[in-house]
Amino acid sequence: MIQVTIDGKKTEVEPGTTIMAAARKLGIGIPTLCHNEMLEPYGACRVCSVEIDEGGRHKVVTSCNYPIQRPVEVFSASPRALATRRVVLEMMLARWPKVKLVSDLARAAGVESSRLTHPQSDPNPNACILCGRCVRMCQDGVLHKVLTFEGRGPSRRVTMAFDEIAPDCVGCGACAAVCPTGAIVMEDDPNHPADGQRIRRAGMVITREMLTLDKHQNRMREVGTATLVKVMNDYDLLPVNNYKFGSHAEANKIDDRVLKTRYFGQGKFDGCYLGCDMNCCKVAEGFVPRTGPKRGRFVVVDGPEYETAGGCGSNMGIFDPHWILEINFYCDHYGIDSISFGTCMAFVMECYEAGILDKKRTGGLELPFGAAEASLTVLHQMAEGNGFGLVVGQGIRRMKKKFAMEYDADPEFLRDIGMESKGLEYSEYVTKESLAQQGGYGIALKGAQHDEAWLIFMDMVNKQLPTFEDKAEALHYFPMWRTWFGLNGLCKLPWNDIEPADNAESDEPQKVPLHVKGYCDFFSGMTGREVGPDDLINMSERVYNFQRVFNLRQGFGTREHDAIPYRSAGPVTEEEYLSREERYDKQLKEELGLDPAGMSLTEKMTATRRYREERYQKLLDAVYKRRGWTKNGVPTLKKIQELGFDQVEGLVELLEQATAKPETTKKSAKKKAAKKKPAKRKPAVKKKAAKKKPAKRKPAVRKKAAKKKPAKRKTAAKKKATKKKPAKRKTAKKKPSRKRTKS
Amino acid sequence: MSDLLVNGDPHPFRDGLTVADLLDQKKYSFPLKTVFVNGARIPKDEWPTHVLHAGDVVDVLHMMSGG
Repeated sequence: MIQVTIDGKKTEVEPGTTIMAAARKLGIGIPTLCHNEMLEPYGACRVCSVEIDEGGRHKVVTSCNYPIQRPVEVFSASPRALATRRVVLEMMLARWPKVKLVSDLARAAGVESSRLTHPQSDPNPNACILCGRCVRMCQDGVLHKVLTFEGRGPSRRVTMAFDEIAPDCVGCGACAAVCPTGAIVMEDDPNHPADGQRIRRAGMVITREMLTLDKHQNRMREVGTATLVKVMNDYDLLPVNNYKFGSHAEANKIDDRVLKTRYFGQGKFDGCYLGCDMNCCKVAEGFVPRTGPKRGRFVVVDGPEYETAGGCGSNMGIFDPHWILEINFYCDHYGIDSISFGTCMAFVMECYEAGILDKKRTGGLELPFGAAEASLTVLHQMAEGNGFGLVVGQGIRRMKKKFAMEYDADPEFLRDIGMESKGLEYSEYVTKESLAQQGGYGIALKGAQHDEAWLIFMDMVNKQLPTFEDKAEALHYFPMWRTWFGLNGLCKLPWNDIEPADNAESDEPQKVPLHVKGYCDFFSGMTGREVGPDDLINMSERVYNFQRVFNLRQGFGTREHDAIPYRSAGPVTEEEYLSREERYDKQLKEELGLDPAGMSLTEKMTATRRYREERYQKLLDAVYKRRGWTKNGVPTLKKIQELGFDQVEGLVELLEQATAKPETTKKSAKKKAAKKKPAKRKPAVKKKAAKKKPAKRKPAVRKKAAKKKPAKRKTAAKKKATKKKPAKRKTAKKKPSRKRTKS
Repeated sequence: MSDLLVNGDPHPFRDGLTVADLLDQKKYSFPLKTVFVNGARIPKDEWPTHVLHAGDVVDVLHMMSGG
């Protein structure tokens, strides 16, 4: 820290802080014209000139861009500083005599009129004073580079290329927002909002934060969401090897520091749409793929962002950034979702290591965790529609069926490790220690995506959601709130990937109240209808419930479809349990009152599983109740009536059927449950212990077993019949024997 | 000597431990967070100098609700 004295007041600042910033910290105002806190200091107008004493040497400097590197004394209104300021303002006054900002500043400096004359004196009260704020905003703020200066000296002016209205100017209005004189104004709003200014004001709140706070917060402009690789690794949330683990020693090889240094361009526009100042989609230029149709050619890669780095990197056991970028590139090139690809391949890799798949079944590919090149082969095959890519391209849900039916893989094991819900592959967060987030994935209408609710920090780290009711409330509010962005075609990221400086002091910081207010202003400014935060939630609730009913009509909208793979909730394998043994044992002791010291590993895993699966069911009960749904996860007629869309044809009958069904099935289900459920749980793990443990430890043995059973059974059975039928009987016999041990 | 209580969990205390040290030990690297010690908010620029005491209750609120 460096000591600074300004007009007799002392403070300490970081090296590199400007005099202007230090003065503001002390509450001392220094007049300025071209400076704006959102933009890099420019020093063009020189109105902010001050006198400094630095090591005994006195000089006049522009305070907006003078970095403090050693102790300094500043005199903001010394005779020498004032004289400089006055001359500058007299020159401006001569050229722009009617511009209010200039005359106000001049008057404040003691200049009533100019002694000078200017050949290009402009009497326009809204004249451009060449402060350059608009040009810097366009170039450095929104990185669009449409506005520029042309000419030198008196002929200098702001213009666009070739002095024409640039066709790629999208009218984002950021230049107008920083223009101090009104020389640039937005005259036409193509969408005809009720109050365009209100929308722009709300937008500028975010712009200001992006340009002043982002560099100290999530650095979205610098590295995008890739910043989360390190963060998630630190919090044990980065998926590694098909979500088995939450961190890895080599995660630092694929985090934002590496991506920025080696690949990401800086200072160029690469956002989703022109005018966005968050600009978080980072681009790698000059990348050369090593495989596929673009091998050896220079290409541009859009990313990777966090999900791709996690999904196509750590979750597949890949820690070489080149391969992540190459997978990223080809996913985009072929139009394949990199999250689904990464999660599918992670599943395939675990199946390969568990002996369910082998080279014969993958068409000669070796696919253990980390097999980057072979994964790219699968990706190319997927796009071409041939080879093993045809299998993987069908997604985890269908792969599970295929592997169970054709390769005699244990369906329960596949269900546990196949990270999908409603047929959609999980995005890239480990949720084992956040029950609320398990619900966030499981209950999400479109399948396992975190864009309805991301509650891991609130739940797991902050411990703000201790009860089922707390979690249910969060699983009501956040999905409704986030649905609202979709309804309005807005990006969610500016809501909470940048936050007001004083957000922590608000009543509900997790909701970012100032930004919620901004979205209310946006909606009201657009439609002319005054709305508050609750109105936005109500809008979403109608749509969200309608979507749930739509799911119901399509065969997905009930409790059974909100199920999650067990790996989402807890450790499936011994190695997973052992990797977090202390945590799981602690839970057994503190939350279940068990003594882990006296339990075998299998017993501990069984108890942990039972506890975690029951918790998830309780969570579903609480969420459904909060949302006004039946225990089967169906919106009640009363709820639909409240929301006002009960008149939709056929909807009432649909709800009645859905509500009636579980009641009838429940009775028989209860009977079965009495026998099966408890039975299933205990032996499920025992069964695994019997089947899987040896398989994991000795994959070769398992491979043989897998090979022997159905694949050969089916093909060979028809020809050689006799030997394999008994094998079938064996598996058939196992089931009843399991029941016996359970009951 | 009693531990600290950090987000509801015990954490070993040592003399001279500052808020910044604690965040480092916990690997709380996410930048958007607010720290409360015994209910009082500690401004970010005081984290390196704010010394914790045995038995302090520390709440570190991470302001992330997802992207």
